Amino acid sequence: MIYVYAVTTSNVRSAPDVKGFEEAEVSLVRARGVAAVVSPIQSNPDLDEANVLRHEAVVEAAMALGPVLPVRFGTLLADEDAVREAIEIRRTELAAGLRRVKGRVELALRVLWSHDDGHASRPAVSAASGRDYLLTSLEQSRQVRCLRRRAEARARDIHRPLASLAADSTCHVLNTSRQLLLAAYLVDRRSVAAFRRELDQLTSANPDLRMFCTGPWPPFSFVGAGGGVAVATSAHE
Amino acid sequence: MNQSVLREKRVTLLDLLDRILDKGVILDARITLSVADIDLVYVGLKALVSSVETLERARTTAAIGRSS
Repeated sequence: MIYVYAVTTSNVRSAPDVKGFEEAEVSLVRARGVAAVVSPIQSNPDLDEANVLRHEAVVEAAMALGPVLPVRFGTLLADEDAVREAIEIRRTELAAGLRRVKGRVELALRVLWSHDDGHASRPAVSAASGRDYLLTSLEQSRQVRCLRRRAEARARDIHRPLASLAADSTCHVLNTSRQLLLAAYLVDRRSVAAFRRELDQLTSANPDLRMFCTGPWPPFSFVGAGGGVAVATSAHE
Repeated sequence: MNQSVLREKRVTLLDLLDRILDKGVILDARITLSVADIDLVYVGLKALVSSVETLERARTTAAIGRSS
């Protein structure tokens, strides 16, 4: 079987000089303008930290040689013909994706906040009547809406200046109550320093927020329009 | 390992898992991870997020402790 790490352009000089799973040589399978970064494999890689890091190491090595679209962990195909067919039928989207990410990297941002959500301090209300109960729940939903608005405004103030330095971005507000913002930015390599300077300024200007920026990553979050070149997903069989 | 290095390592691993399992090109392939595997990792991810949050709280508490 063949394990696929990434898709790159077919004009890269060579496969990355790095060992894949089971210490196998990494090679390229080329098909009309695009190429898959692959290695032969005997059995499915377990989902563990070492294997996740190995997949990432191969993708990063390929990224040093040309633009890459990383492929989701655990992608196995029967043989090289199957790989060629899989990339050839989505050649147009893959080529467009590769043009878009060329010379760019992904930066990840996670912003935590501590908000007073009112629940911890509010005494337990025993609803004496239906009217009290309704008033209490109205008040609670008003507080939730208010918190949501406050979060969106603060997240926007962080996200906007960073997004303006990026070619593309994704953004989720409050996907947990402590996580104000979870965002990804597709940034030109030459703009990474400016992005970090802006982030430093935002960090100083918002001492109550904790910001975690990781990367540069391969452009995982920007592999295609609408969040993925997802075709015929037969995942989870 | 000091706490901030540990925290950074955890956040980095969390961001990597988030990407490698949930983003990236999906080829028409036999994705060999079972639903159970993915669920297990995401339970792990949640634990990681909480551990980051816990470390943050510990840090904040420690800072308050020092300043008082």
